[in-house]
Amino acid sequence: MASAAHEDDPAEPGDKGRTTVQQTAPCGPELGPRPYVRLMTAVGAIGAAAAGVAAVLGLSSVPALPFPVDVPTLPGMTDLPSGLPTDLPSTLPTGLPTRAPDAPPGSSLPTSVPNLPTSFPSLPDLPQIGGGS
Amino acid sequence: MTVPSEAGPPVPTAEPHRNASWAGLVGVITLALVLTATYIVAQVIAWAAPEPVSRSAFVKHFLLPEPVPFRVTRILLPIGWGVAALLCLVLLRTRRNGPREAQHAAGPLKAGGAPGMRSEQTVQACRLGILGALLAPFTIMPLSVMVGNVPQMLFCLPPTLAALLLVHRVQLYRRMPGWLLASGLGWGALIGGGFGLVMITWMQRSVPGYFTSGSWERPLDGVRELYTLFPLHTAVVTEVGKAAGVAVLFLLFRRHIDGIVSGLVLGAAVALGYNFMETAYYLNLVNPDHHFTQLWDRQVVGLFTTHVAFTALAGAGIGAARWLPSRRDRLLTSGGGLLAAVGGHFETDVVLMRLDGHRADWFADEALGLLVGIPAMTVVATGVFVALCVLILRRGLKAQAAGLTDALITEAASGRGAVTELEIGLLLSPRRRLLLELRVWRRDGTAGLRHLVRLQQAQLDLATQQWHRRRAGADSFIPEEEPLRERVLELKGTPSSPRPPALPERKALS
Repeated sequence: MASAAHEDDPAEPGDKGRTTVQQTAPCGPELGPRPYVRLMTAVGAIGAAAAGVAAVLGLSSVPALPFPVDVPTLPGMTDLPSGLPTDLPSTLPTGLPTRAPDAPPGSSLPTSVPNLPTSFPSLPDLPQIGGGS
Repeated sequence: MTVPSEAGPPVPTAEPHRNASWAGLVGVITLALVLTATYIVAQVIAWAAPEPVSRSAFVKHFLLPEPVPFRVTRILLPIGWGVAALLCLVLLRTRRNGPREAQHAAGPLKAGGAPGMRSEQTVQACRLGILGALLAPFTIMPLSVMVGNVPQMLFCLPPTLAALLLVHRVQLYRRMPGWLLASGLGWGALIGGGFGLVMITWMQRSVPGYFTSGSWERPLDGVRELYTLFPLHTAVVTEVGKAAGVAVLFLLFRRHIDGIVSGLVLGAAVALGYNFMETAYYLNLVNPDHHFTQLWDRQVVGLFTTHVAFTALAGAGIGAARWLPSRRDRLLTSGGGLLAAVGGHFETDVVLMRLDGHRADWFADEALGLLVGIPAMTVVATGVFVALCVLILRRGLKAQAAGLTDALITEAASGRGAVTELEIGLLLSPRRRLLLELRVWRRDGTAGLRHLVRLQQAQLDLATQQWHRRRAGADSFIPEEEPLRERVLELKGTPSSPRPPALPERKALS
């Protein structure tokens, strides 16, 4: 690693506790001017790539933890079927009733409202999510 | 192999070392302020977060009551900030009065020099007080976990201590003192663990509101983003908290942390502490029927392959920065290590969660899934990062062996008696040293073994510091050579050889 790196970066004057010792004869894997800089940079790049993979995987697949996938919703304007008829009927129906009933049904209407249930089942206990692992 | 000449660079004096230690403490306080600032950001995000509302039942997870230790931490942290601010004022006042006191001490009180020294002691006490006030509140949550889960902790203690011993022995040549690794373990369990738990609790309680409130019709989108953000956030805060521990110990005890191997080992020790606390925390949360699975997962399969591997990479980056003269290079190595730790942690959490969802499909037998499935999935998720750790360790040890060979030959050639030619081969062979240790242990017991290990470590320390003195980035933390040599001779029981005659003063020559 050290032999591959030959960029000379002078020590900055603000570095505390550093003497101006100069190496006269560099030898050994760690005695080059920038030991491990490229190795640790590559390690960091692998970490960044792993984070990218995790982000893509997380955002594109279904989470493993339990949660409701679908919630029934009322159809809105955007959810109307696409195959609606576009042309109006040319002729109106002709066999419409012409005589309305003379009196309401009266005696056959229900008089009492059924009792609604008062206790509902509670939600099931789900495992703890999130947290460090 | 050429033997370097005896003439070395100027020996660093004690005074710059002391000043640099003060500077190290200031650096540690800066790190504590960074952790505090991160917490404040999380609190602001929590205050601004919308209420988590949703038509689906999963919102129930985020509406749990606030844990008492978390509430206590929330109260104690601002109190700590107040104490730290007061100590800052005392510090500023002491420093302002310092020169006046020193001037006064130079007069009639010069013999004692007490006021100046007192002022220095006050400054040091204030700095330590500021550090304690900023960091101590983070220990509340881990302490509550430990106090409330003593049986679970007893389960986790043996594998953790065995792993710490193994990590210590991985330093095949010169080893850091055991108390330094124990300090790392303590940081990981208390400060790093506390910071992680507090930040994760904030996240769980506040951020879901941002993702659930707008997802009435299709909650999957919001939940998918949320469940990706959770592991990312967890990875960032836990790795930052653990890496801060390595950096703190590096700044305070730089004399012992001398390269990529010691940084990697220290990172592993910090991570073992975090893993210990986290296992106890999860054992308390899950059903007792699943305790064996948790212990198998976190204390056996994941003991060296998750937290330890990630923080070892972060520590290696910090250790590698020790000898780099350029600030840019130091940032590159330490930043690269931290990025690898965060990326690896995030990727592991995401991938393992998904793989574990298929474990029951792949392994019909539950025991087989546990004993084979979990290790196989862990290899898939973290194998790359474990391999990187092994690679870095191997390179670091190889470099140490090369550097020590030169230094030991030089020392033996000096004829001072601290290292003889016959000892060089033994000191450079970890296997031979281990066999000798076993033989001495059988013959002389623990006392003999301890003496032998002390002697060999003192010889390796002497050679290591000679090697470091020849580096381009040699600093004033490298200890003086003569006391190290005298220590070796003392352990050998041989009288200290007379020092080479001092050169006559320049004035006498002229």
